[in-house]
Amino acid sequence: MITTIHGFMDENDLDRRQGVDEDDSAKVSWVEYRLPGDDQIVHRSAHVELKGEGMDILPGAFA
Amino acid sequence: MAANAQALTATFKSQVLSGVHALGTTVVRGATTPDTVKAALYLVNQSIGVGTTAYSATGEVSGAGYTAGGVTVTNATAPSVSGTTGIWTPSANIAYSSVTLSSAFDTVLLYNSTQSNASIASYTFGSQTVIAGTLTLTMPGNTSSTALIQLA
Repeated sequence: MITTIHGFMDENDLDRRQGVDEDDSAKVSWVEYRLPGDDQIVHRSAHVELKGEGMDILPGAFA
Repeated sequence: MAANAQALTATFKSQVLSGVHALGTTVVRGATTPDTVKAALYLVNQSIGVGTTAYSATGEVSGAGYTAGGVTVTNATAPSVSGTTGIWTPSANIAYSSVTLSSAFDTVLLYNSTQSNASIASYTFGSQTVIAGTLTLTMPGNTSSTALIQLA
Protein backbone atom coordinates (compact mmCIF):
# COMPACT_ATOMS: atom_id res chain seq x y z
CA MET A 1 0.00 0.00 0.00
CA ILE A 2 1.22 3.49 -0.81
CA THR A 3 -0.08 6.97 -0.20
CA THR A 4 -1.67 8.63 -3.22
CA ILE A 5 -3.76 11.66 -3.93
CA HIS A 6 -6.72 9.29 -3.57
CA GLY A 7 -5.59 7.87 -0.24
CA PHE A 8 -3.89 4.55 0.32
CA MET A 9 -3.83 2.32 -2.75
CA ASP A 10 -2.36 -1.04 -3.58
CA GLU A 11 0.69 -0.33 -5.71
CA ASN A 12 -0.02 -3.52 -7.65
CA ASP A 13 -3.08 -1.78 -9.06
CA LEU A 14 -1.05 1.12 -10.41
CA ASP A 15 1.39 1.71 -13.28
CA ARG A 16 4.85 2.27 -11.89
CA ARG A 17 7.64 4.25 -13.51
CA GLN A 18 11.04 4.87 -12.01
CA GLY A 19 14.28 6.46 -13.03
CA VAL A 20 17.64 7.81 -11.99
CA ASP A 21 19.10 11.19 -12.87
CA GLU A 22 22.66 12.12 -11.96
CA ASP A 23 24.79 15.19 -12.44
CA ASP A 24 27.85 16.66 -10.74
CA SER A 25 25.79 17.78 -7.75
CA ALA A 26 23.61 14.82 -6.88
CA LYS A 27 22.10 11.51 -7.88
CA VAL A 28 18.31 11.40 -7.85
CA SER A 29 16.23 8.24 -7.87
CA TRP A 30 12.51 8.70 -8.35
CA VAL A 31 9.40 6.57 -8.54
CA GLU A 32 5.94 7.55 -9.65
CA TYR A 33 2.60 5.80 -9.96
CA ARG A 34 -0.36 6.39 -12.25
CA LEU A 35 -3.77 4.85 -12.55
CA PRO A 36 -3.76 2.43 -15.49
CA GLY A 37 -4.70 4.29 -18.67
CA ASP A 38 -4.47 7.66 -16.92
CA ASP A 39 -1.54 10.06 -17.24
CA GLN A 40 -2.16 11.73 -13.89
CA ILE A 41 0.52 10.99 -11.31
CA VAL A 42 -1.07 9.84 -8.06
CA HIS A 43 2.18 9.34 -6.17
CA ARG A 44 5.73 10.51 -6.71
CA SER A 45 8.67 10.21 -4.36
CA ALA A 46 12.32 11.13 -4.86
CA HIS A 47 15.53 10.11 -3.16
CA VAL A 48 18.44 12.54 -3.52
CA GLU A 49 22.00 11.50 -2.74
CA LEU A 50 23.71 14.77 -1.96
CA LYS A 51 27.35 15.32 -2.79
CA GLY A 52 29.52 17.37 -0.47
CA GLU A 53 30.60 20.93 -1.07
CA GLY A 54 34.25 21.70 -0.48
CA MET A 55 36.32 24.81 -0.52
CA ASP A 56 40.01 25.46 -0.09
CA ILE A 57 40.91 27.92 2.62
CA LEU A 58 44.51 29.00 2.34
CA PRO A 59 46.91 31.12 4.37
CA GLY A 60 47.93 34.42 2.85
CA ALA A 61 51.49 35.69 2.68
CA PHE A 62 53.15 38.58 4.45
CA ALA A 63 53.67 41.62 2.27
CA MET B 1 62.41 16.80 11.77
CA ALA B 2 60.47 18.10 8.79
CA ALA B 3 60.69 21.59 7.36
CA ASN B 4 58.30 24.21 8.63
CA ALA B 5 55.32 24.97 6.40
CA GLN B 6 52.89 27.81 5.86
CA ALA B 7 49.41 26.52 6.60
CA LEU B 8 46.06 27.06 8.14
CA THR B 9 46.05 24.31 10.71
CA ALA B 10 43.70 21.42 10.32
CA THR B 11 42.28 21.93 13.80
CA PHE B 12 41.51 25.56 12.96
CA LYS B 13 39.37 24.42 10.01
CA SER B 14 37.36 22.17 12.27
CA GLN B 15 37.13 24.73 15.07
CA VAL B 16 35.83 27.35 12.65
CA LEU B 17 32.91 25.03 11.99
CA SER B 18 32.34 24.76 15.74
CA GLY B 19 32.56 28.51 16.34
CA VAL B 20 35.65 28.32 18.55
CA HIS B 21 37.42 31.23 16.85
CA ALA B 22 36.05 34.74 16.50
CA LEU B 23 38.53 36.86 14.53
CA GLY B 24 35.94 39.59 14.24
CA THR B 25 33.11 40.83 16.39
CA THR B 26 30.88 37.89 17.07
CA VAL B 27 27.57 37.07 18.62
CA VAL B 28 26.87 36.42 22.29
CA ARG B 29 26.14 32.76 22.43
CA GLY B 30 23.48 31.55 24.80
CA ALA B 31 24.91 28.08 25.20
CA THR B 32 27.78 25.85 24.21
CA THR B 33 25.48 23.44 22.44
CA PRO B 34 25.38 23.28 18.63
CA ASP B 35 23.13 25.69 16.81
CA THR B 36 19.98 24.41 15.18
CA VAL B 37 20.41 23.83 11.46
CA LYS B 38 17.38 23.70 9.19
CA ALA B 39 16.89 22.68 5.57
CA ALA B 40 14.51 24.55 3.27
CA LEU B 41 13.61 23.65 -0.31
CA TYR B 42 13.52 26.15 -3.16
CA LEU B 43 11.79 26.26 -6.50
CA VAL B 44 13.91 26.28 -9.64
CA ASN B 45 15.46 29.57 -10.81
CA GLN B 46 15.38 31.44 -7.49
CA SER B 47 19.03 32.54 -7.52
CA ILE B 48 19.85 30.64 -4.34
CA GLY B 49 23.60 30.18 -4.09
CA VAL B 50 26.82 31.76 -2.92
CA GLY B 51 25.21 35.18 -2.56
CA THR B 52 22.40 33.96 -0.31
CA THR B 53 22.85 35.46 3.14
CA ALA B 54 19.90 34.06 5.07
CA TYR B 55 16.80 31.93 4.80
CA SER B 56 13.89 33.62 3.09
CA ALA B 57 10.44 32.34 2.30
CA THR B 58 10.67 33.98 -1.12
CA GLY B 59 10.96 31.26 -3.70
CA GLU B 60 10.53 28.49 -1.14
CA VAL B 61 8.38 25.52 -2.06
CA SER B 62 4.90 25.23 -0.67
CA GLY B 63 2.37 22.49 -0.57
CA ALA B 64 0.56 19.98 1.59
CA GLY B 65 2.71 18.60 4.38
CA TYR B 66 5.50 21.15 3.96
CA THR B 67 6.09 23.80 6.63
CA ALA B 68 7.74 27.07 5.64
CA GLY B 69 11.32 27.05 6.85
CA GLY B 70 11.74 23.39 6.13
CA VAL B 71 12.83 20.74 8.59
CA THR B 72 15.41 20.56 11.37
CA VAL B 73 18.62 18.80 10.46
CA THR B 74 19.83 16.08 12.81
CA ASN B 75 23.21 17.19 14.05
CA ALA B 76 24.68 14.68 16.46
CA THR B 77 28.17 14.57 14.98
CA ALA B 78 30.47 17.48 15.73
CA PRO B 79 32.74 18.97 13.07
CA SER B 80 36.03 17.13 12.91
CA VAL B 81 39.25 16.79 10.96
CA SER B 82 39.85 14.17 8.30
CA GLY B 83 43.45 14.35 7.18
CA THR B 84 43.93 18.10 6.91
CA THR B 85 40.33 18.91 6.00
CA GLY B 86 37.72 20.26 8.38
CA ILE B 87 34.50 18.37 7.79
CA TRP B 88 30.88 18.26 8.87
CA THR B 89 27.93 16.17 7.75
CA PRO B 90 24.47 15.89 9.33
CA SER B 91 24.18 12.68 11.28
CA ALA B 92 20.95 11.57 9.63
CA ASN B 93 19.23 11.87 6.28
CA ILE B 94 16.84 14.76 5.75
CA ALA B 95 13.29 13.71 4.96
CA TYR B 96 10.14 15.55 3.95
CA SER B 97 7.46 12.94 4.51
CA SER B 98 3.93 12.85 3.14
CA VAL B 99 4.26 16.04 1.14
CA THR B 100 2.90 17.29 -2.14
CA LEU B 101 5.21 19.74 -3.86
CA SER B 102 3.74 20.17 -7.31
CA SER B 103 6.00 22.96 -8.56
CA ALA B 104 9.49 21.98 -9.64
CA PHE B 105 12.25 22.49 -7.09
CA ASP B 106 15.95 21.77 -7.28
CA THR B 107 17.71 23.25 -4.26
CA VAL B 108 17.99 22.77 -0.53
CA LEU B 109 19.38 25.56 1.65
CA LEU B 110 20.98 24.70 4.97
CA TYR B 111 20.75 27.60 7.38
CA ASN B 112 21.32 28.39 11.03
CA SER B 113 18.00 29.05 12.69
CA THR B 114 19.72 29.84 15.99
CA GLN B 115 21.73 32.67 14.44
CA SER B 116 19.07 34.74 12.71
CA ASN B 117 18.58 32.16 9.95
CA ALA B 118 22.02 32.85 8.52
CA SER B 119 22.78 30.78 5.45
CA ILE B 120 25.29 27.95 5.51
CA ALA B 121 25.26 26.17 2.16
CA SER B 122 23.04 25.41 -0.79
CA TYR B 123 22.92 22.14 -2.69
CA THR B 124 21.32 21.59 -6.05
CA PHE B 125 19.96 18.49 -7.73
CA GLY B 126 17.89 17.61 -10.77
CA SER B 127 14.51 19.31 -10.85
CA GLN B 128 11.88 17.34 -8.91
CA THR B 129 8.28 17.27 -7.82
CA VAL B 130 6.74 15.13 -5.09
CA ILE B 131 3.11 13.99 -5.14
CA ALA B 132 1.67 12.46 -1.96
CA GLY B 133 5.14 11.11 -1.33
CA THR B 134 8.45 11.59 0.39
CA LEU B 135 11.60 13.46 -0.52
CA THR B 136 14.70 12.06 1.10
CA LEU B 137 18.08 13.75 1.02
CA THR B 138 20.71 11.15 1.72
CA MET B 139 23.86 12.34 3.43
CA PRO B 140 27.26 11.46 1.97
CA GLY B 141 29.98 9.81 3.99
CA ASN B 142 31.67 12.11 6.49
CA THR B 143 35.16 12.00 4.96
CA SER B 144 37.59 14.60 3.63
CA SER B 145 36.43 14.05 0.05
CA THR B 146 32.72 13.44 0.55
CA ALA B 147 31.51 15.31 3.64
CA LEU B 148 28.64 17.72 3.12
CA ILE B 149 30.92 20.58 4.17
CA GLN B 150 34.65 20.35 3.49
CA LEU B 151 37.18 23.04 4.39
CA ALA B 152 40.35 21.82 2.72
